[in-house]
Amino acid sequence: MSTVTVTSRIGLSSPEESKAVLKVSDLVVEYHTARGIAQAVNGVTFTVHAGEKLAIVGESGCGKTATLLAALRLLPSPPSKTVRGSVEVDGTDLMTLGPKALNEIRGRDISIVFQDALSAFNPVLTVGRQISEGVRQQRKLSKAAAHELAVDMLARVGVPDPDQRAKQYPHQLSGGMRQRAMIAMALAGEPKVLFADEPTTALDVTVQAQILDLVRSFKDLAIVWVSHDLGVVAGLADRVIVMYSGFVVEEGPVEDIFHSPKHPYTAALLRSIPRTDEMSGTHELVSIPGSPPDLVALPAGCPFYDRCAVRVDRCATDRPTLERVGDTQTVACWVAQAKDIAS
Amino acid sequence: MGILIFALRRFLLAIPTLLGLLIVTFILANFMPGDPLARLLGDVGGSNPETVAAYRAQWGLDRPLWEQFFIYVGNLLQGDLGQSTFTRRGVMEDLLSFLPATVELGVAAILFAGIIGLALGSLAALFHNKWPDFLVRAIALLASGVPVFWLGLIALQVFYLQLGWSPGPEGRLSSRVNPPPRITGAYTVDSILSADSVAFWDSLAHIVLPAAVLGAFFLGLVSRMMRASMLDVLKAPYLMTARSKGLNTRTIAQFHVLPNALIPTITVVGLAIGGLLAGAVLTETVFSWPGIGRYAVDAAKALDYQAILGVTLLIGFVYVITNAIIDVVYAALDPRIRLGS
Repeated sequence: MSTVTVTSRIGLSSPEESKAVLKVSDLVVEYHTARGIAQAVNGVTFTVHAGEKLAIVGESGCGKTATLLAALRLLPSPPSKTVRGSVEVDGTDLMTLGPKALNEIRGRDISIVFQDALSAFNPVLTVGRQISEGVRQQRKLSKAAAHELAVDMLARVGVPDPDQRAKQYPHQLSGGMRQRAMIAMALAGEPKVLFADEPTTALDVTVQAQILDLVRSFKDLAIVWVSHDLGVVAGLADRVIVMYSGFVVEEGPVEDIFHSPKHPYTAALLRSIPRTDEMSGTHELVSIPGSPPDLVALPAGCPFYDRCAVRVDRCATDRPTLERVGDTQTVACWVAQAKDIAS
Repeated sequence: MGILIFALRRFLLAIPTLLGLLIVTFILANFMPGDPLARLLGDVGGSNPETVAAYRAQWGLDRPLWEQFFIYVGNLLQGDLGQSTFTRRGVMEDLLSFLPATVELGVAAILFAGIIGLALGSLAALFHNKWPDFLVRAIALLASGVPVFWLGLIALQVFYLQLGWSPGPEGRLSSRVNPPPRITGAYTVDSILSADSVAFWDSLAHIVLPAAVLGAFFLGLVSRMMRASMLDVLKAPYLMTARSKGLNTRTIAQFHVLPNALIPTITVVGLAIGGLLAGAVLTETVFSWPGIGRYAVDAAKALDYQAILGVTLLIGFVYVITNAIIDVVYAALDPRIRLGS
């Protein structure tokens, strides 16, 4: 896995100055299971500006992928149900659109890259066709123009011999090539926002680095990158959202999150990454004891209460809300917020 | 390009299979119970050793088995399947005259069951665990669980005797209607080709019930297979990809769901063709349909050695060839098979 090297970003444009291209507000997603209603996403709110790279991190089951899929209205219903919330892309709320208007925006203004490129490609259609078919439908392209677009997109993501590759089927490409092809597919409609659902997790380290370099090169593209790998996030994101059992527990610029995590969960998460810059052997890998709460029966108080080392009485009964702590971070933790007031 | 080479290779592979089929059927036929000669010569002739010996010599039955086999294969290659002791005609001639009726019935059954089965299966998958799904599953279970001969009798009882919607079990045409001139041998097709509307409607009316009965098992199988594979495809990650690209429902159904759902269904369909041929024997008997099935039953009753061997070979041949065709269709649908991984 890649190392955590937090470089300071000098000359980073302030997000407030640029235009917000994606506004997710109070998103609530439930899963109807045999045991009851699982609350997978609980009031997630975030904004992404043009060209900004936002990372959503958290362990599996924390609702990070569900947030992306629900925002694109891709979650299968049943069993899932998006109960509340709005997802505005350039001012248009996807949640209220009819199917036709929704399809005008999906793939064009906002698109998504999945984790497993092999299963995300249809096995019986050529790669080129799948890259261009969304745009072909929206812009009524001819077959030749669609092929040209696919070849052009493959070339842009660094696939060698793009004309041949476009005519091939997904199973004929290598893993890294397939992942590039999927990125080409997501970018074919020239979106403003790209969702990425752990697209490098299934790749080996060198290919992973190549893909990250590629994604970093898209300067103007707003990206929401979901990952459990903080190492990847450190080298890619401007801003980080930490999720825990469906809640946003901390948000802030990547440097601040890594240097001074405010939420005990964020801090524990950072302690659990293997670090190559501490080879002395004194640094032990710390795992977080316990397990996340049952989403079917969320506790009344803080969802992290059971596993928290710094909890106070109030945490058991009152669920903390996201409040600004320090200059740049927002945190949902009573203890961190109390410390901030005291200092 | 790839598919042509694949098809050529697949059909070349069918040749050793057909040869194996020839050997097995020949050996089996030689161990069939009952002595065809005794039957042929009757009690008097069969009890006279000289007559028997003369017959054995005439038909080459006194020669070693391997020699008989080579003679048989040699004749077969010239289109000679021997003579039927029952119809007193060449078996090849018999098969060719009875085959079109069976092919017509079989194709009608496959079309009927295929189209309705695919539609029902898709419907069940789209309304998974809702009432159309339960209905389709019940139909599929009944259709593939009920024996063909019983279903045929029940269908006649209901649609012919009770409701009067269908003609009776009188074969391919009413006695008052003249068959169309023979072009393909299939009455429905020939009557269209010769613009004979009376023969067309009459032959169509006669084929509906037997085709439905023969296709019932097939329908159950196809709908269950289609339902299962479509449910898999509907959950497939690439469908989420397709939706994420803003594709409309028609494009998704036509290019992403259907081709993928058809792949496993087609495979099962190929395997079921053999069952269809077995069902044809029973269906033709129930509906007095003058096809290969009826011919096989008559030949078996008469211990008509050459005719039984001929029918067995023909059914085996059809089975091997349809499976080769199915494999080619399968490869055409799935590039992973066509191009290898």
